[in-house]
Amino acid sequence: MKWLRPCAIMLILSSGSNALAQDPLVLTPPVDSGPSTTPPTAPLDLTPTTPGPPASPSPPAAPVVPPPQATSPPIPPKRPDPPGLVRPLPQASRQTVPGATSLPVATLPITTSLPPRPTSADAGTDAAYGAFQRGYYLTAFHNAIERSSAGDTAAQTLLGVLYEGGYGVPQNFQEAVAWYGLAARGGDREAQFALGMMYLQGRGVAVDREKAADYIEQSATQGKPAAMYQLALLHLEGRARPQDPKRAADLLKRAADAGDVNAPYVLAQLYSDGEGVPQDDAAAATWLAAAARLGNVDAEVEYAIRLFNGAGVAKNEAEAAKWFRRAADVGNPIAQNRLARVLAAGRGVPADPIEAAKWHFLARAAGRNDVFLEEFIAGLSDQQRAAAMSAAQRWPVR
Amino acid sequence: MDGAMALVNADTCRLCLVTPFGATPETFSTALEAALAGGDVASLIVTAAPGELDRLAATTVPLAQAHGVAALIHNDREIALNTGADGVHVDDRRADLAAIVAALHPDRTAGIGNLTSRHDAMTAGEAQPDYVFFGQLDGDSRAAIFPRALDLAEWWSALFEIPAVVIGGADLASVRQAVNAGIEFVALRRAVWEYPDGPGAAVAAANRLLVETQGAAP
Repeated sequence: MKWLRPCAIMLILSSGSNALAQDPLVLTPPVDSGPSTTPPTAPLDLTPTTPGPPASPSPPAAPVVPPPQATSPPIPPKRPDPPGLVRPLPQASRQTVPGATSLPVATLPITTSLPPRPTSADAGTDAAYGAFQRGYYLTAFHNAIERSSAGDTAAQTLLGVLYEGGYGVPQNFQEAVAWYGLAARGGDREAQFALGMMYLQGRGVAVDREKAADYIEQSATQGKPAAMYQLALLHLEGRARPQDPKRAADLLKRAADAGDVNAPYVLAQLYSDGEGVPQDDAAAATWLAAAARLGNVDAEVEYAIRLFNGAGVAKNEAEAAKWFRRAADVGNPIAQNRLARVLAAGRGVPADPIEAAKWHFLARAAGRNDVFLEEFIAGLSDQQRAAAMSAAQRWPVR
Repeated sequence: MDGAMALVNADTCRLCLVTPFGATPETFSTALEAALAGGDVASLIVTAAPGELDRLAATTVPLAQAHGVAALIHNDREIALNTGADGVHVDDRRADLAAIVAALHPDRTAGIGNLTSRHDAMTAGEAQPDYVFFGQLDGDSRAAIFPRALDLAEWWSALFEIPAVVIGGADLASVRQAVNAGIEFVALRRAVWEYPDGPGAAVAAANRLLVETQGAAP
């Protein structure tokens, strides 16, 4: 049996269009750091292809800096020796990686956003980021290497990103950890967050939830929204940080207010449950709406159901149908099923038997059958059924 | 199709069973045989005191499977493998769910229980189990389904593809609540094993209630 990944928290990370609309630098890193560097394919992805930077860029014909080979030591030969840097032990950490991977990944969503272009940085670092954004990874690498030796933490962080994502260089998590560590100790909140996530997921280091929590907390204290969100999850989970739903809710509110795309949906759950906050359906609906507008597909469906039922929000079937359609359009079978129902019954939308049957066929193909709709299509003419089937087969092409 | 029910798929609810408190291979086999002869059952969750689970599993797993019923072992993968059970029902909060699910798939089923909040359920869902279970295995002390478990299961079923199981009440009629909430499975324990006319009659009656309620639902 194959089931769709239910988790909005992870899904939203791959729903590139929205994430990227908000921050053009958000990356979706590979989920697993197993022996292979090939990112695992997302299970039955409902979202359109992430328009992020390609994972394996074709290098320019004449590279500015020859990228280090996969077999070379994880410390780049050109890197000057920064004082105080503790070099990772590549052999030891490599050995610890396979057993430790995949375990904590699912308990906490993965997100590593590229640090925003530093406002205070000088032209050199800016050029490196600019090159990165354009996909000139080798140029970015070259510039960042030069800048990093001068103690430029933003450049060091960028090097971590390049190694973590394998942009222009062979993907190398140990190397990424080393650069993130350097920048994190230099106080860079982006690096602190990225390093925390490496420890949380056991990428390039053995899983260490305590260290992960420490770095994530440092970053959160400096105001990084994604770090506040992750710290909130740690407080909900109660392993590396004490279980404290109130603190979690507080962090989530601050993260959401600061523009974190994942926080609103979790906050909606806390309000639905009365966990860490007073139970409040209106607040839950408000945060669901926010998450839905950010493109969280599960939130779209849940908000649509609340609108349809008038739960915590004024009943509005037309608006509900709109959100069902939006989630159905990106392939969510639950939303396709609900959309088929409202189209069949003409609830919030003009009744449209062919469209109803089309969405039912699509949901059914995705494993979501429905006795009511089966009876409904049995009552259609052969012509109507054929038209619906043909439309379903053409989907998502309109 | 009108009102709030219009969005609920109330047509797919099936029965699960949970082994009763104090079940031993000697005392339980007859009751189980009777129950499974009574009608449709999707799965049986086998639970017992730690030292007794392997013995109970050894007799109940083949019995369940002979009736086409999936046998799931409570929290013990080793016993599940040794007895050839169909899967494991995990409700140990300390467990690494993703690792357990990954270790069982694709050959065996993995279900996750002990979910007390939406966030818990979402986190469990990320591990891609075959079902999520709301309420405790012995959460059938009242006639009706515990409101909290019903609320969470209804919410889940409305939103996600992974099916939900809710622990039913001590009264067979509680299966109606599960149907009306659009929940995919309802798990019974006392309602079946302590049914005055015996477990076979209980399973038959529960299935009649499921069909009736599904027929009446919009």
